[in-house]
Amino acid sequence: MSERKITMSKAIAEAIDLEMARDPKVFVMGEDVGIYGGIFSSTTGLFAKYGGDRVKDTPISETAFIGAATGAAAEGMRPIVELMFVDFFGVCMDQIYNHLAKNTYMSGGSVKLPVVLMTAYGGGYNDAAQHSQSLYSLFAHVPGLKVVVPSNAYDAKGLMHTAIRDDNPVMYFFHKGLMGLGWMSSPATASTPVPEGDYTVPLGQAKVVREGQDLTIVTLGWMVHRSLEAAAELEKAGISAEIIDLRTLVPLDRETVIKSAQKTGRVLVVDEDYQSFGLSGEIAATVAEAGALKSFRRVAVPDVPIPYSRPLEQYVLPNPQTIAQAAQGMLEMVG
Amino acid sequence: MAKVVVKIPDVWGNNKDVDGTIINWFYDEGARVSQGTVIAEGMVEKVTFEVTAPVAGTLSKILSKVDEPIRVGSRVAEIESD
Repeated sequence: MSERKITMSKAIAEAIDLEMARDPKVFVMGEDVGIYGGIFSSTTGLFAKYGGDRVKDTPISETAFIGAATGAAAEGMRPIVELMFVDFFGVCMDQIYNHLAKNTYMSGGSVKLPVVLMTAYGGGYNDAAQHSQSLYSLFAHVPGLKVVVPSNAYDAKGLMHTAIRDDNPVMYFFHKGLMGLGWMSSPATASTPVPEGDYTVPLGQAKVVREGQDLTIVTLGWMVHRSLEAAAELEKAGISAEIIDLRTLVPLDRETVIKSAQKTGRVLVVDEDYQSFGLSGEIAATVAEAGALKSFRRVAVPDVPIPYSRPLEQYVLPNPQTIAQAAQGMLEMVG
Repeated sequence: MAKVVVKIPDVWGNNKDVDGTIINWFYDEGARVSQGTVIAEGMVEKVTFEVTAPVAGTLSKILSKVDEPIRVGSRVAEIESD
């Protein structure tokens, strides 16, 4: 393992760099991905190395440039497009869920669309209701889109390699507060040792990041780190929590979730997305359908827009205390 | 073998009277580094900059942790050179 420990933003840029070097069909397009290097540093250094033909700054015209990516992919290119905030996918939703997600299916498989659609998600830094959402479940709901949500630098790089090489559209969500930026602090556990060369992390393979016996915490992204903090607190109270980092929502590694649910008998979903009609319900259904649902709870955003006010925002986002409380509640309930 | 101190480069511009911070260390103490390897990242007035290893060797000591204040010339690490 490498001694070098890098941030998630550097890991993402490095994967894109290596893929651009090995395949001339790979190119990057989006708002401020070029000279600026990506508002969250996901493309830093690429413009200087590859120039404006392969790292294209676009106008704020999402329908046009995401449509262009779909067209370029249909013609054999492998575009990576960044739309700064997942909150604004609404302006180009037709291109995403009617064209990008469906054209392979509607052409009877004759058109491949190897597009990576990259975006920042998540809150915790007072950016208000239109710049703090997670929304990955919206896109996981629509058939035809793979959905990747890494929690750390190692996974981020390996998943990006896999996403670029995949012949299907992949939506790649990174949490702003995991990128290791100077102006937005990240948990120390988000930066990890990362090999300098290329490697892949498969889509659809969750990772048990902490083994435990008493309950299973199913989570992803930033919430992996908050759940790890909660688990350390629970350990002091004699409760042993297993934590599953889903890493991808589509494909979803149901098997790992079910196996852990069968072992511990208790499932707690920790989700930064809205609570209703989303990830937590899907996990409950998955475990129930497998006949493994005995005890279930969820900690998610309680179906309100993310508040701008700092105390209110902190109140609605899951945190180590609310996660630990929910876990303790489950153990007391069963007795 | 000699101890070489890693100092913060002068990227401050005219006003050197403001604190910057270390925002990331890319290696732990004891790691091997080459000359020119980016070993850390700093930030001053929202501008980030890289801190490189002046010599090849072992990063023997980190003197300034993440979020600690730094100025031009701050001694942030020691490298035992080869």
